[in-house]
Amino acid sequence: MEKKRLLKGAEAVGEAAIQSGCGRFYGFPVPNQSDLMEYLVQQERAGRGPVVFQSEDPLSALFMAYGAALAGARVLTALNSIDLPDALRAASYFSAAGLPMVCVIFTQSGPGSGNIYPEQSSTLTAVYGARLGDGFAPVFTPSAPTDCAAVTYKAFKTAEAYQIPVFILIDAACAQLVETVDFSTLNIREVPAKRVGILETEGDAPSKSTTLFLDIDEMGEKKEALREKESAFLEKEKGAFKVMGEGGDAVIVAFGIGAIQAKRAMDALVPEDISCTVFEPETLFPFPAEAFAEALGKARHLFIIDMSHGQFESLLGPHIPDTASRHVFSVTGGAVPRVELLKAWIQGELQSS
Amino acid sequence: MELKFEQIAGFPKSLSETPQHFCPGCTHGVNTRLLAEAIDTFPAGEKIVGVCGMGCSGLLPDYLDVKMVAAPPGQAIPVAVGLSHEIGGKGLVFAYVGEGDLYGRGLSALLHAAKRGESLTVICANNLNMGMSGGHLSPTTLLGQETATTPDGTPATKYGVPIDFTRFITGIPAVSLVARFKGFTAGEIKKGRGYIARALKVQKYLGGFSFIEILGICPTNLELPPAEAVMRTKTAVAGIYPSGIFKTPEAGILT
Ligand code: SF4
Repeated sequence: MEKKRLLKGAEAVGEAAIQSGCGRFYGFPVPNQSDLMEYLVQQERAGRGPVVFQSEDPLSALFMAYGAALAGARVLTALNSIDLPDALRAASYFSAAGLPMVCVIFTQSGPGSGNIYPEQSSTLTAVYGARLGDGFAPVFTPSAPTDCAAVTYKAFKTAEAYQIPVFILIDAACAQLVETVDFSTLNIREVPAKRVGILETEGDAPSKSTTLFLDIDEMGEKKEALREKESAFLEKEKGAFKVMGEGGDAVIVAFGIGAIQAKRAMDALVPEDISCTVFEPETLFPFPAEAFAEALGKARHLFIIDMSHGQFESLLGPHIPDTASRHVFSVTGGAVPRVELLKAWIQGELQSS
Repeated sequence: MELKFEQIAGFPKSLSETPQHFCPGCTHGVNTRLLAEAIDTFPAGEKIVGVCGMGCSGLLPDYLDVKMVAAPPGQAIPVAVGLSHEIGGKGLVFAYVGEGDLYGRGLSALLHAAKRGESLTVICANNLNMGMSGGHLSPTTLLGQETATTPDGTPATKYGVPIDFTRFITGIPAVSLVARFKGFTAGEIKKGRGYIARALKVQKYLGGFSFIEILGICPTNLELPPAEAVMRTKTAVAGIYPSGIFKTPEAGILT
């Protein structure tokens, strides 16, 4: 395999999944998700990568993955944000059973069927929805194809290390964005095998997997164990992020296509003598709070690019000190925040404050 | 005179000694034993994984001494399919699911798995109502049958005429074996054990999809003593849900 590949974001996820040792992919054709599935099918034909299976619907895909994971497979699933509730339901079961899964959610505009263009209006649903029944799932948010690949590898590593479901949220723009991904710089290695499938378990007692506990005390113990697992996870994992630039006039915070546009706006503001720092969280859960606080220390003005009606802002809220001067740019409906608009907005806000 | 006892039936090896929660007279207890006996027809080292659905069958993992997975409502078949894909020919996968779950929200997955001829043995415990939820209307509830949601008898005007899902599955080309028996009459119980064992063998040797429906009684929700529930159910299903083998890998569709 060539180390440098021209790939869409969705395809970069597929390539990184192959290199991470993913054994099975289950999916159902929907926009963006199909690019990932088709890439994997082509690779399967070429004799590499996971076994790809198109299920009858997205929910079945998730629970086929659950069955395969129980039997020891390293699984990847992907769906569109319209079907995010299915993924949350599945994540609750993966959490309860202590099974790893990487699930990519391609986010589009909503509510309802909306359109297939990018939006980040599934953010809170993904971050908080995975808490259904007190389960938990890290939420990764890559931007460019290279990041999609790097994050996919991290997602598999995290899923296997903690035996948990992991979400990767990719907006429709990043899914379709094309760039040359140099895999030799990414340090992607196959995630070591750790689990044995239900068929291979040994010992006197045949193994069982259930998430149904009618006894209150037993259920309480299960929940306590999950709480401890989450505490250990949060103790160690402080969230992934990228910081670009180190300007002191403004800190721009954004993820996905918003972060790519923020970086371009930052470059466009240099000739205007405005220096910015772009903070891009690559995980929304856990949120990289310490790094964000550090970035906020660089400037008094915080510019939030929110591709939803306030969801990203409300997620950031608890991490923003009162002393910061907050500016929010909201763009929805499937539109990508345009660089000239971002530039004019930041310039205007700074001038009027 | 000294009484001599002869053991005519043993305790199946695959049946756990955990006391079962099923109501007295419920056919789930019989079905569980039949499953264990069918599993016992395989040599000790045979690798078998069972999947159960939600409802009264959801505690099956406690009662069978084989590897078991309790699936979410409606998802027993996808979970079993995923297990079967990964396990491949290294073991057998069966699913034991109530009809409320399997023919309700699990129907699409069931039909698609059948259409693909997945390597699976699916057993549907059809007791004509959603037992665990409190005796509600199920996809196979008979016309006029009283349930918690149709207390004046299930009307065709509102809920339609019940269809025979087993017959429907019989017509799917990739399905290898289809049979149905009553889990509450001695003669059929004996046959039924053979059906289940045969279904598992079809999976083992042909990698095929087999489907067995076990008609059952739910005396608790019928609010009848078990013996009466048996009589009533036997009469009620006559001509609607007939017993027998409907399809075999050798002969195809039989009736
Ligand atoms: S409620 Fe009905 S189906 Fe459930 S255990 Fe009792 S008798 Fe059996």
